[in-house]
Amino acid sequence: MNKLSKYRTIYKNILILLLIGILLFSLYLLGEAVKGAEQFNRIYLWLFGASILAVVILSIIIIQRLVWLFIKRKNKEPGIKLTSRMVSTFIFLSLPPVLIVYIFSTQFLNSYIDSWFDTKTDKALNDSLKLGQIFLEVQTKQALAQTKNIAQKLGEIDEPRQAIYLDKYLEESTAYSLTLISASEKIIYQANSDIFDLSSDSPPLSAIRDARSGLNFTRIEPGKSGNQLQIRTLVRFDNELKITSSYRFLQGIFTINPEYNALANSIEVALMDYNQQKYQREQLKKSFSIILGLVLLLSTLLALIRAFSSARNLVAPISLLSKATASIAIGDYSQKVPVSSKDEIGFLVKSFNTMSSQIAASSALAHRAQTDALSQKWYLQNVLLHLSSGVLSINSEQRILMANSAAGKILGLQDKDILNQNIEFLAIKNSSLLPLVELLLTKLEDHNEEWHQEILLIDNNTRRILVVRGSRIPDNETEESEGGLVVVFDDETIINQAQRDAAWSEVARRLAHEVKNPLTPIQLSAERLQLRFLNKLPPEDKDVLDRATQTIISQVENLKTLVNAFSDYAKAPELKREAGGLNQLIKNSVDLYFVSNAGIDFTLDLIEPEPIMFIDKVRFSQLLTNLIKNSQESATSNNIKITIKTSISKSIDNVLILRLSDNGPGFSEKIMEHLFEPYETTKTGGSGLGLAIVKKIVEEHGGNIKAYNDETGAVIEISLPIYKR
Amino acid sequence: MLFEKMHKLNQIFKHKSESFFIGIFIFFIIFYCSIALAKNNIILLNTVSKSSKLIVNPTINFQVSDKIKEAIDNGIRIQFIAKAETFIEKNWWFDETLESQKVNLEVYYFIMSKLYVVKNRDTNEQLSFNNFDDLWIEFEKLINFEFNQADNSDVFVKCRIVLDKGALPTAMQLPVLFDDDWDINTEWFQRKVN
Repeated sequence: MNKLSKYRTIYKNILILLLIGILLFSLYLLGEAVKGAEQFNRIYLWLFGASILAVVILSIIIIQRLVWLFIKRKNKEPGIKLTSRMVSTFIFLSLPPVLIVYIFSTQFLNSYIDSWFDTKTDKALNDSLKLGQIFLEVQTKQALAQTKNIAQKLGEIDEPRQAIYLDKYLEESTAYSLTLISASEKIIYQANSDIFDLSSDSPPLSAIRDARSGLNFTRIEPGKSGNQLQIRTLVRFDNELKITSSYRFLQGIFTINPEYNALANSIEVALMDYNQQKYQREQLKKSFSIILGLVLLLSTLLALIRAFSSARNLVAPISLLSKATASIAIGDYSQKVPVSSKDEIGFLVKSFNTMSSQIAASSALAHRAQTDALSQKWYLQNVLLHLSSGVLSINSEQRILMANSAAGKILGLQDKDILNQNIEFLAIKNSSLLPLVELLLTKLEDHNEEWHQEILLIDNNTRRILVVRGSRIPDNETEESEGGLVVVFDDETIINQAQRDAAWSEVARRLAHEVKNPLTPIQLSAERLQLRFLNKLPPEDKDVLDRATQTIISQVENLKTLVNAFSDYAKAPELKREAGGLNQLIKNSVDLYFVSNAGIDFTLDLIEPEPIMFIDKVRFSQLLTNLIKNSQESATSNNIKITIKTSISKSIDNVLILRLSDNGPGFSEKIMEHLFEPYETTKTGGSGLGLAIVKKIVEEHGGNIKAYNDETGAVIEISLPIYKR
Repeated sequence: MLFEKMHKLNQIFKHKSESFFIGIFIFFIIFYCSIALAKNNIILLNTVSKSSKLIVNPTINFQVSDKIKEAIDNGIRIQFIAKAETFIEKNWWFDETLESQKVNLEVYYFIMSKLYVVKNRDTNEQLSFNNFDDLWIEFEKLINFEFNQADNSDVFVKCRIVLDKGALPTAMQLPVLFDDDWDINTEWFQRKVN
């Protein structure tokens, strides 16, 4: 909480406290005013208005907070449900006692006010009033008698001297003042007991009216001071000395004995007060009920405001904690909740802050470890990616957890997603992989820590050799903690072939070297033997010698041919490559064979325009001759059909495919594996070097060769790079 | 949508609450004034010039409800304030008050002799009546204003009589506040002083 909001909160609280203070003070004054305190009587309405205004302001504050609560609740802000529950609890806890107090107080007050006005008091007051009235009536009669007596005396005096005698008669009577009034209602003279009282006191019009009509007017009335009672009498009297009718009025004011006056006044005041209270009974009840109602409202509103502030104070740190927890949940550990109290909630906040700090530290460590692991993983993936060996990781449930790209290439499944697949999926997608799958299943079953095995995969007459090395993964090192295998395999076909080629070359070289050297002396020796001893021997021996030496010479010739062939294979002449097309070479070779072997039916399907190749034409002619010869020699019938086709490869750029097929029996399954190795032949009398030399020539030109059988016979397919200028 | 509106209203309400209360207060004042049209009135203002003084005495047409009589009979003392002012009218501005006077009157019932009494509280002059109606006929006799004569010829005098509700017993003040039977104030009556 910043300073500004803190000051604002304090300011708001002070305002509310001030309002409450004013309201309480107003209510106190209201109570005093209703009890009859004179000093508050004048400000009663203002106090009431102020109280109502304060209650209205408090109500508006509460309504505003309720609306705030409602909006926050709809927005599902953290902690708002707890606030609502606490406010409700406060209200339900505070309302019943307030209502009970209100109901009982109202009932008590009403019955208390009613108890003021019992019939006995009523009767006693009325009786005392009647008694007082009887007493005053007696006094009035006496006063009237005195007035009439004086009036009679005045009537016997001539008018001008009446005023002179008035003072004398006043002294003789108990009257306070005597007033002589003319018929025209003008005061002629007034005699007062108090010589300093110069005020004149005119009779009321009704008194004149009564007196003029001959009725004597008497009444008891309040004096000028208010507390003093006086008796007013007015009589008409005629002047007996005058012949013409002439009259005047005599008014007498008689004071009551102060002792009686006090008693009468007391009765008057008590009775009037009693009547006043009786008259106001219902209004008093209403007023007290209203004030009590205001107190009830105030109590409820205060409880509500208190409920709101308490709930907010209590929930604020919880709300902050909730927000901070949400932040931590999404990985923001920088959240700190301010500790605003030293109670249990403060302790909770402190603990939370400590916990979040520790989580932040742990998270940083974990993040660092994760980053390291990730970089190691990337590194490993990178290594695996660039590894020429295929790598597979298989769990104990036969599921492939990891495979590098080389694995896909070697297994011929580079376009398939093999991750999380059962290893049998490999055999389903590529049946040639069945031996590998069987090997892996076997190795999963047994518990060899490390193993190494070479397997042969045959796919469409293509044979491949995989060298598979496996290692068992300990149970706790896999993601699923289930153990499994990590398998590394290499396609050793090419290496194997190269090794064999190298071995055969070495054999051929040694054979050529070791065998060829003694052949000439053997041949020469055989010829010398024939030359020297043929004619010296008897005819029967001569014939034997001749046949023996001829056999040696012919076999040596055969051996020479064989050795030359091996020599060619072992040490091919240096290539003399030049740019040119294949079509003419093919046609020449076919023509050559067509002339010498008329029975062969050649079909040529050569690409036009032909691509330019970079080849040694002599060696290539040898290649074509060997292939045609191979087809011719393997034929089982006289109807030999050979088809030569050239085309551009669709799968590899800049590669020419030379395909030669025949209608022979095809290659034997037995020799398919070592077809291009020397001395692999099914023909009687063949050296077995024809296809080995072909392969060697192809490889010398940077090409590939493969052999397979189709529905008509054997097929040799050669891929050669097209010359790029 | 609704909640947004409520929220906006709440904000407006929060900021405008002060103006809102002033508006409500003014509305109540206007409402109260409109219902408080007087039934009683002053029908004449008698002015008499006496030496340098101007004596003003109103003639009042006063009608008092039974509720007021009941209150008086039950010992409630009712106070009236008669106000009078001399002033000079100003166009488009407040009038200039020259002199202002008040007469405080009290009407009560004297139960001992069953009299209705009207008393000038300033002078203690009082009139007593056996009949309640007679009191209101002679009520005006106790109302006399004495102003200084002004040199200006455009002097006006105005007068009104109001019931002093604040002087009523406290318990009665609230119920009579909006009770028409207790609304016996006269309007201002004015005339030019000749």
